Amino acid sequence: MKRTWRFWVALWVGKFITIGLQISGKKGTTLPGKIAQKIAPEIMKHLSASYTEGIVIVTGTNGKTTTANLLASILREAGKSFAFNQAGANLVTGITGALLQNTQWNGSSSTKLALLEVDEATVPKFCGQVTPSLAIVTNFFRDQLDRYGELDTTVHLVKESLSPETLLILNADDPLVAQFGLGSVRTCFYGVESTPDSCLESHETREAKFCPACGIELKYSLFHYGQLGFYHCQGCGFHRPEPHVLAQNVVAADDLLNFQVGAAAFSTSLQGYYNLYNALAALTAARQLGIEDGLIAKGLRAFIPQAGRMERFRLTGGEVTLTLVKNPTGFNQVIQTILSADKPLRIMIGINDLAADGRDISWLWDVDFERLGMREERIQHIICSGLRAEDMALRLKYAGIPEDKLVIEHSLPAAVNLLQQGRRGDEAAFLLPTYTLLFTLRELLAEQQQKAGLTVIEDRTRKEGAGT
Amino acid sequence: MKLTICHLYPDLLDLYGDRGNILALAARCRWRGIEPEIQEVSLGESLDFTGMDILFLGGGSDREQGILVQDLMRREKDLRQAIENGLVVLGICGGYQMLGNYYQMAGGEKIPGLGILDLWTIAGTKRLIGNVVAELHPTALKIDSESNLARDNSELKLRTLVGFENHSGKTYLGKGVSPLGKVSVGHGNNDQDGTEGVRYRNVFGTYLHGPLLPKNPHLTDILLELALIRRGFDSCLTELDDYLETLAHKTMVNKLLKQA
Repeated sequence: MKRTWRFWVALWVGKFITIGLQISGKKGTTLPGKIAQKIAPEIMKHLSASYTEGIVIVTGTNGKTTTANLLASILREAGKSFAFNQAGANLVTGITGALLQNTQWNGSSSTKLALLEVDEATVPKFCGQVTPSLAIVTNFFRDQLDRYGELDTTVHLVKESLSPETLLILNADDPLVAQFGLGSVRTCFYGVESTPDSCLESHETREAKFCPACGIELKYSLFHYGQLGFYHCQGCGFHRPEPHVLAQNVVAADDLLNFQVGAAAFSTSLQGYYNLYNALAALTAARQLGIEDGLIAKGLRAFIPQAGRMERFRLTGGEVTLTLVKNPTGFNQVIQTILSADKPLRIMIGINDLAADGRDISWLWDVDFERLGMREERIQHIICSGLRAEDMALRLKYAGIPEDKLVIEHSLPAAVNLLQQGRRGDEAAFLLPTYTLLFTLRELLAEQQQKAGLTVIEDRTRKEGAGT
Repeated sequence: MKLTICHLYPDLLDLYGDRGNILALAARCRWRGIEPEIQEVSLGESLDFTGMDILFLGGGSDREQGILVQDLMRREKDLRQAIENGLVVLGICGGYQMLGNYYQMAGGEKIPGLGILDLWTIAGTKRLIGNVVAELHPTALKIDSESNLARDNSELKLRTLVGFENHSGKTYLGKGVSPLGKVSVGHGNNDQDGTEGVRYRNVFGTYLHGPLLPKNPHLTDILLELALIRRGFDSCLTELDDYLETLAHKTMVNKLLKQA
């Protein structure tokens, strides 16, 4: 490929800024990527040219970051080095930044393999410049419709932009994803036989009620969650493809999610059955990359959940769990997980409506909060925070949570304190923020955890001191 | 006392949390001892407009909307007659557009609507997305003048509508109908004349999602009241504690007006 002077300027400027940021102790791959993009708009094409072992992308609505991180953990276990946009920087600028960081001054890449999480709306632009060797498509749900327009459009754009040369790793249980396989030769499907939560009927708000191929209503013989399950179309015969990688004997036990693929056993410390799909997607891709099952199992097991995905903190009042919420299906899964703990509950929900959260918060009414309403006797209180705290409280009122259990507290530190005030030992506490609240909240909790840790140590020394 | 609320095509028209509108209508009935009966009617199922009190038509994606206009066309006469007899209807976004004369596509092709309301929609080039505050038209929430409950907006505690719009179609109102309000923030019907929504007899059409009804309890209650009056009940609705509804409404209105 012929490289223009623009490419060299963009590369070197980008690399200088990256180093500058590192020296000044700042993180971030977005700024160098942004500037390099400005100088050479086609820079991704050049930066991606020398990955001889391939470029793997992960896209879809939910589970991109988790899937990419699981696969990264497996690749590390297999001793592979690779370029990776780790921080979830999955737009053009973030991807460019990650590639820049992995490119030497002479323009060649430092590794032969790249693993990139790509935002679904960015896929068309990305694939305009880069042809991935593997593309994992996780699922499609309603997410930030105001940013992407309607779901149909997003799915269509992603489908159209993927090259026939790319091997598609597809979720067989999601009809919106499985339809990518229609007319494609290079596909590999993964799916789930059943989970303890699978059921014959679904009352959730779901996508894809109609056949993506012909428009006739889809019939289901089993639902896993959302529109994921065993579906078939009575019109054109479109149906759930037989998965090449099928999870069986799915059991959640001792904070582990265990499952089998054929004779091989796997487990992950992630909670919630939706994470089973993320593990399966990573497993399927790893097999395609020629990694053996033993290493895959180790990699899945070694993975520790990242920021705000059912992340636990130990505070003075007890353990709290932090998890990101961003769309109805994800939120329904979180509610399911919370209720399955079978303990009295304290909950804080933080809803912001900035661009990264989605400006339109009407999705809150598609979340099945009625399930919390039906179990309101188990709920101590729900603290509503964030820019749209009032809307959240209103939603919960209509879901059947008594008003005297609802608290509106805009200040995050105050909300965290309220969550813990007077907490009894048997009560479980959850914090459920949208994206732009997540990191502030996480820092706050990490700080409190550190203080709590110090208090524990102080207590111990005092007691020991008293003994002598 | 019982009110029958029909959610038409809930499986097709349920974008943007529109389900919340049904939840609001049902809850505000229950809290007053009125029994709400929710009918969910899907494509091809039988539909009896005379048996219902409130008809809700939500928004859907373009493809799904196309499927159901065809289905509704078969029932157009019955619906028209019910509306002329005072049926309470709330149409949002796609549900609003399809009550009009036609939807003109980008290529100029006109997809006929039900033609019950004197309005039409033309496909726009950019999507109109964002929060909306609309000042209620003086008579937008008025109750039929023949009733002794005639009143205007000055009696209402809230005089605005607040919600979120997301549409590319631009809707224009004909002479026979009046707007629901005037936009203070946002684009409204067509981004040109400042109008938002429509009112014709007991039919309300609007582009506001949010969902609309939970945070606009004054509008929700007018729908219920109109439906009760139509059934011959004469009493005003009992007051509810609308602290959270009003708070959510006013917080957003104040924030948006300040930003504008």
